[in-house]
Amino acid sequence: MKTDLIDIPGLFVGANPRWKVKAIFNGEVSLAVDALDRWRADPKMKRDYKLIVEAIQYAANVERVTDERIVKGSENFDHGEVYEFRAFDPDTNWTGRARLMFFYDESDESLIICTNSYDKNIGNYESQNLMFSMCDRFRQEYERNKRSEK
Amino acid sequence: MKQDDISREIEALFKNARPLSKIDLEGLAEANRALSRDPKHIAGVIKAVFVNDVVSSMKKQGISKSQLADQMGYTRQYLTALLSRQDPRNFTIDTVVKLSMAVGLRPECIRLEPMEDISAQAIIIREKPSAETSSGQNYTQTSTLQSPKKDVVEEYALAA
Repeated sequence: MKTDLIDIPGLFVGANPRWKVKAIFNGEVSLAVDALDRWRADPKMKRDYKLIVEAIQYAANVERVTDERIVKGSENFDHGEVYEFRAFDPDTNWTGRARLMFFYDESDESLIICTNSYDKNIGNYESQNLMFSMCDRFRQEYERNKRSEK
Repeated sequence: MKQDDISREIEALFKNARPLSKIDLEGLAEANRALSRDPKHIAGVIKAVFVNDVVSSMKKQGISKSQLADQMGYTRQYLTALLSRQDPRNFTIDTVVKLSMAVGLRPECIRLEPMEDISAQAIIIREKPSAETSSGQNYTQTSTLQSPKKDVVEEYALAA
């Protein structure tokens, strides 16, 4: 699987962030960029889109996010260190449906790498687990590709 | 779930997603840039980063919420509300500075960049270097505010 990296258009996380933010790109499709654009363009998901961008900008400027309402790691022991951004508004305690999966690359560049996404429905743990599994698969492939390039 | 199944699911996701060439990338870029020009949005990022630094420092030093509340003269409920960002009005600059110092952090400056950089700068809180503080130097180092940016500074400070 190809795991190139691209920038998220127009996303600015600060002049000197802890992490740069990238999205996985297979040469044709970036699931993360596609999701952000879909949320942005959907009036019902606009608030979710804004909160996901806020979560990304927040995560890019701290070592690790402590607020589990905004970033949650997978609790499945089969997974490596993979996380999801959640559309959550602390001011109103409102939780949206948008979720964007990611992992950290701590090796050289200090990257947050966004992989896949989903729109949460009530009680669909299976979807979340599957999406974490996919994110973990992207992580493994990305690391394998990196090793083989060296 | 088996690895093959996951691969199939990923393939399906790729198949159903739009290729980059079919996405309005400029529209997305402009929307992202617009968020970075939105004071409310930037204030949200700043508060999140600030609270994160405070909570991380509390964990590192084993300071409980009750201890911190006592030290600051707050009730535990008020501190909890503050740290969970339930009331945006609580985030005054005075509170930010007081809370930072209470957990051994030094609010270094509010970093300001020209708007053309579409900056989403957070208040940068760094650990207080012990040598510096013990030598009696100032805890708080504020940035020099250059006149053309002053209105922007004040707006962000109020929003934060």
